[in-house]
Amino acid sequence: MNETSVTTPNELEIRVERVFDAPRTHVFSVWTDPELIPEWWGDGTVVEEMDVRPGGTYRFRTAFGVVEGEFREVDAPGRLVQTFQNHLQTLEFEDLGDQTKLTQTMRFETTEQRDTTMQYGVEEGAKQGFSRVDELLQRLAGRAEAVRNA
Amino acid sequence: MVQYKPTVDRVFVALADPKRRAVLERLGAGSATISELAEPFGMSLTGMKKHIRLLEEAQLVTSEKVGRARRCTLAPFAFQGISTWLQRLDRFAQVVERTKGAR
Repeated sequence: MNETSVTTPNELEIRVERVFDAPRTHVFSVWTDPELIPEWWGDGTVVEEMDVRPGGTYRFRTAFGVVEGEFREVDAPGRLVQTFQNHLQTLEFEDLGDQTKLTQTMRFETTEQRDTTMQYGVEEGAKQGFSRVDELLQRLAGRAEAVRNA
Repeated sequence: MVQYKPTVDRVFVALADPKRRAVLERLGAGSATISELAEPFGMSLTGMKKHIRLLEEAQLVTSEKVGRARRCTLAPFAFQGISTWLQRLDRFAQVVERTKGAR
């Protein structure tokens, strides 16, 4: 599997870089195709809206809750700017021939929000603690789903 | 990492109380106002506000004023840090790999 690099280029951003073994048009389409979203967002994901154009919104329900945002720039298959929950994401798809390099820059409003997001993955102790909390929240979401379906 | 401990501490403080866990469970079914939360638990508005404040400090819940009421929402991605996102990108890579010939 190709390596992923995670850096903090400045006080407000997290940058994730990764190469995929597929042409750029394909990588871009997996990112934006409503039929494929559930395959990488997980079981039970329902895409309610996926309007890929500037000002268009996306919204899908996942096991963790609702994921939503607005597309700000759409320049297929090279560039996407979208809001994602509490931050702004810029996605650049770079054509490397048979491969595609994705550079994903997440920009937060404050350094504290950025650091909170970073820290959840960095500290081993926190990981264990939070994975338990994660399980709790997933159970809560599952019960809520069961209540709605009852 | 200086900021990390207080955040984790606040989460565990928030989750240590059974009423607050019940509030989280209730919010898992959808957002609610302070009074909608207080009533079934037989609590005063002031008491519920304190619980909500602790949950907000732990970044488990967000709230906003709607008219005269304060509406609380579970922050579903409170625990979705960068490691969760990287796992998701792994799944994304699998889908790219699996579907690249088909399209």
